[in-house]
Amino acid sequence: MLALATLIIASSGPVWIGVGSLDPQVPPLLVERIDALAANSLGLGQRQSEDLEAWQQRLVAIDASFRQGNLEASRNAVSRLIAALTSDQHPWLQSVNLLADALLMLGQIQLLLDDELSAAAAFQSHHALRPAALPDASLYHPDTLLAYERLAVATLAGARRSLQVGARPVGATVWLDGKPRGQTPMTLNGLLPGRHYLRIVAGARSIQQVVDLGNEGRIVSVDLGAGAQTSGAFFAAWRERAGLPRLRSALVSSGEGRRRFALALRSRAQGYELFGVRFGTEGQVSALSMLELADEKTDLAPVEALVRSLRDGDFSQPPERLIEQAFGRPPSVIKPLVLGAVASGVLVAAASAVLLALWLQDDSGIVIDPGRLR
Amino acid sequence: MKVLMTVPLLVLLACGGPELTVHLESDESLSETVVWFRPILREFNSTTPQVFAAQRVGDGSVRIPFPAEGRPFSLRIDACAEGEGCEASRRMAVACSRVITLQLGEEQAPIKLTLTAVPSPDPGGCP
Repeated sequence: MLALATLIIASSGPVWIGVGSLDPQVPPLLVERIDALAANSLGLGQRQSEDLEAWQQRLVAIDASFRQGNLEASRNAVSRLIAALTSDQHPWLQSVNLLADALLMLGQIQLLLDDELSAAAAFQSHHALRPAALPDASLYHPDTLLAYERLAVATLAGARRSLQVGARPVGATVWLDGKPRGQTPMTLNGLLPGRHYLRIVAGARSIQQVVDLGNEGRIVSVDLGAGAQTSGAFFAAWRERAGLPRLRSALVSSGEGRRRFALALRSRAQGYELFGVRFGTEGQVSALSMLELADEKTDLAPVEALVRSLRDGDFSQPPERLIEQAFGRPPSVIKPLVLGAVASGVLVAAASAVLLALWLQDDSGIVIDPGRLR
Repeated sequence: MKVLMTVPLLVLLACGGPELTVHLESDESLSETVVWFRPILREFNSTTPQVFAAQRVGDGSVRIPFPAEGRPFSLRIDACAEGEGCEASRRMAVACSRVITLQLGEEQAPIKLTLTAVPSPDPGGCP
């Protein structure tokens, strides 16, 4: 029976639209850092950027240590890695596969340490995440394969759970265990008991949580905020830098008359400009600030203060000069034609490069030459 | 605009060509003639290795794609005698590489893998 309902209210004050970049020179890492910081400041629990490569290297090092016979040290190290991978904030898509690999390694180590109960827990967690991916017979010891079959596959055989997911706005994308599953509202059936990793995404907004499907199914209902579907259109309009009226038009057409705020980054000759803007209920700019960031690794403490002031502060009308610096001027009649021609040229060049790259792809790789066998 | 289009094309043209060559050899212990070989690539710690189609020795070289850049991997070659294909149950010899990490675009020195006979019953995997 579906019994437990979870409700997350994402925002209660002004609607947080998100962080966007206004030109391609802005490094995604900087956007991600600010996005994570803002989300944490606002209590939205969005993902925090972590170094996936570092996690992979940790697993490589643990594997090497394991193969040298350091069982206790390997168990402790892989347990710490799993704890990091199962925290509430991490890049889901890439890390769930890594988590599955780490669980398999942990189960294997626990077996060698004669801790069958812990091995069963690790194997079952792996099986719940990746029910179709059994350990490769050519990579694991037959004892490990047999134990996996007995402790996980046979134990969980026939036990299935369901997960019902609802969200505002309707149509948010549902990811489970690192894979996209569809749009809300939806019910996922046939899931194995155990911990599953749920992420619900609408535009630039997302909510994620660990769902423990123990003895029964679950109902999860989340609220991603009124502006969730519209952040893409909002930043697309801002990137045009076609003046404040254009941006207000995009904002008003997006729906409810609530106060909203957002951050946007633009590159300069040296460093970056970070604009923070808050709109009133009629779409008017009620606050506008600009911070200069030296580089992508700069200290973001001032940004946190900016986010909070945009959410909570009381502002006066910003100067016209700053509004123009942030949003640009309304375009002339000729400018769209020139921009269109340039954009077409860039598109043709990009398409040519992609096609050529695809054509050349067959010409590289690993060449296995059996010539010396003949 | 011509310059914009030409420069990336020339750069791409300069990047083509094989980047890692693997020469297969037979160990002296191998008495039978190798007729088939089958490459198996395993990205580090993946539970699902990529198994490529078996190839006749007489048909020459085979090319397989690289794994994702910077991802450690190892290569296994199963070898079989005359017959149909080179399924695991038919293999008579195997060669395994060390763990390799490639940076695409860099020239790699060719490597040599030596096929050695597998015992009976075949324990599977690498020796």
